[in-house]
Amino acid sequence: MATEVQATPAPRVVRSPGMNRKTREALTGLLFVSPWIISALVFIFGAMVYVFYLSFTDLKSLNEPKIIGFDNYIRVVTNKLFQTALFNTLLYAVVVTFFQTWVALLMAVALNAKIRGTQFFRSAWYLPSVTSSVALSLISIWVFQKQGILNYALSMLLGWTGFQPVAWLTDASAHTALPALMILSIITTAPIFMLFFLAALRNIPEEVYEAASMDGSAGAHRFFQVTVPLLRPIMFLVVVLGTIGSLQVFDQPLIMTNGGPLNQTTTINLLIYRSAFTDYNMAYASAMSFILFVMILLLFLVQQRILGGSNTES
Amino acid sequence: MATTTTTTQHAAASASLTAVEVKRRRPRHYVIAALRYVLFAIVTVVLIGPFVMALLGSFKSTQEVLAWPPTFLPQEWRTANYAEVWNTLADANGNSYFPRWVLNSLFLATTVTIAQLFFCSIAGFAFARLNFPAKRFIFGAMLSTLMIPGMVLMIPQYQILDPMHLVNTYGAIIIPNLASAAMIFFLTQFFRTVPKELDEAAYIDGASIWTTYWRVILPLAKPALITMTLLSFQGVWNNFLGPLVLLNTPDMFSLTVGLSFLKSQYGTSYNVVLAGSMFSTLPVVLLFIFFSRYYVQAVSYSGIK
Repeated sequence: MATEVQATPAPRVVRSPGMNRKTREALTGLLFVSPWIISALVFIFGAMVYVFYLSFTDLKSLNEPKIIGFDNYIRVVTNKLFQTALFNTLLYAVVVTFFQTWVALLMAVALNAKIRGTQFFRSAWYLPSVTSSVALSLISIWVFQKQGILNYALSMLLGWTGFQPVAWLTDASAHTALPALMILSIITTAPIFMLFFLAALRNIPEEVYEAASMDGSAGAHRFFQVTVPLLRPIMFLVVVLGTIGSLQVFDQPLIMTNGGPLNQTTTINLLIYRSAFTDYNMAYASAMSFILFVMILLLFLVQQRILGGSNTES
Repeated sequence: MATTTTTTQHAAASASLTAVEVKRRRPRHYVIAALRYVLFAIVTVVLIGPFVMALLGSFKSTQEVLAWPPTFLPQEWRTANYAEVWNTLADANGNSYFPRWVLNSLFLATTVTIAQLFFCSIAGFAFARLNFPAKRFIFGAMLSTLMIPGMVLMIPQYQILDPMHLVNTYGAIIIPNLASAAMIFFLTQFFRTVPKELDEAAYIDGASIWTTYWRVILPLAKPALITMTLLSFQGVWNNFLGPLVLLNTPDMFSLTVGLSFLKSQYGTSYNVVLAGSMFSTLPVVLLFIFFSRYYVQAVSYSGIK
């Protein structure tokens, strides 16, 4: 019916005749997502299958891989250094995720006020987050050294407590290297998550707060009883992203401490990198990789159980 | 007339009421605002202070950058540190490496950004606008890849790229990064906010799907595309793990890998190392300063709306 009328105003249409709109849409859709699909099939899904296979072989570098069963996994799990790295990584992830979430939330709440200059501070605080991890690490080596500006600031502020400068990254007996990495990570990632919370806070309708204040809720009580529960979906997202990120810590320990002193900052990713690309023990490294992947997956599922609401994404 | 007096009286009454209220609230209000600013200042010093000191340190002499107590402004501004990083490390022919690293990073970041702009926007357009088989499944699979650690993928990627003779070439960084799940997700979210009537109107006007994407949707997505350009560029420019594993010879290093190499070369000459770090930091910081609102926008489309 409409086709006869339409024929005149749209002569430039180049539609292949035998195909209806739905088929064309389906084919175009698949064509448009195919670059990602092809690249992911090779470099992500294929890669995951391959690493899983490798973890059961004896591939070092150039030899023909032969299946050897669970040997690599047994060697990984019983390895003292892996246990140390596992402990360091988990400790790091727990501390960093906890503090970065709360620091980010508090920064967002502080910025979510109708006063002058919040835009300036929001941008200023975000600056460390755009800087490369390598530049941050190099700057931090200088900041955390014994005669560094951090020790100077601390001895100015805490001199009365008898504070003595520490070589943060190299003093094994002080156990300060891992905390130094934690501080660096919290400072540089909290501003990113602050933006998440800020966006969510601005979406909380004013009426919610009015109702809360009518019920006599104010201050810290209102914050924990009203604001925090409303932010739960974002909290979940931030905790999940924070955990995934911090379990993969690599650049900073490699550059700043190379795992030292006395393996106090050796992380799982550092061990994977060393066994794969300096010792060329690909199969052993693959087993460690797969363990890390499963750990991240399990933690995600646990967090989803505890924190996850019905609608968090998409 | 009577009515006007009552209303003015009313207005006056309510005005005085609010005045009283404001008077009562004011002192506390000011104290809280002042406390906020003090807090803001402290946070700013903690977050930005080290950067400012590092920037100043990059102009100091080797002795001064290690001085105790530290100096604030350099006693003498030494731009020679920057010249030293730029020139000192050189290959057998006397060609210095540092400019090469900057160019490598610039080339990789630009190429990947352009590729991602195209491949991620068509995929985002498809997910947001077109119906095709297994769409939900593919979208879910794509989101799930965000959980896979980068290091886990490095071993197989190396093993896949090596037989293709791509290790230690630009292709090793560009090819696996042609499309990014995070960027596709971000653009899908943005395209969903564009009213669907526009597509319908375009269709009735006889536009093909490609024309709708290219002439109708993309022009509207300019802010999102700018955000994506910034994030893509920054991501590749700052990337360390990929180039560290896949680029092995000094002439192929990215700036980040080169910088980590610099540390072992210069030991405690922190002034030179800091100058090197500034080369890596300043481009992204400048981009951020000029386009900061686009960075904030990225968050608002990553599923929080």
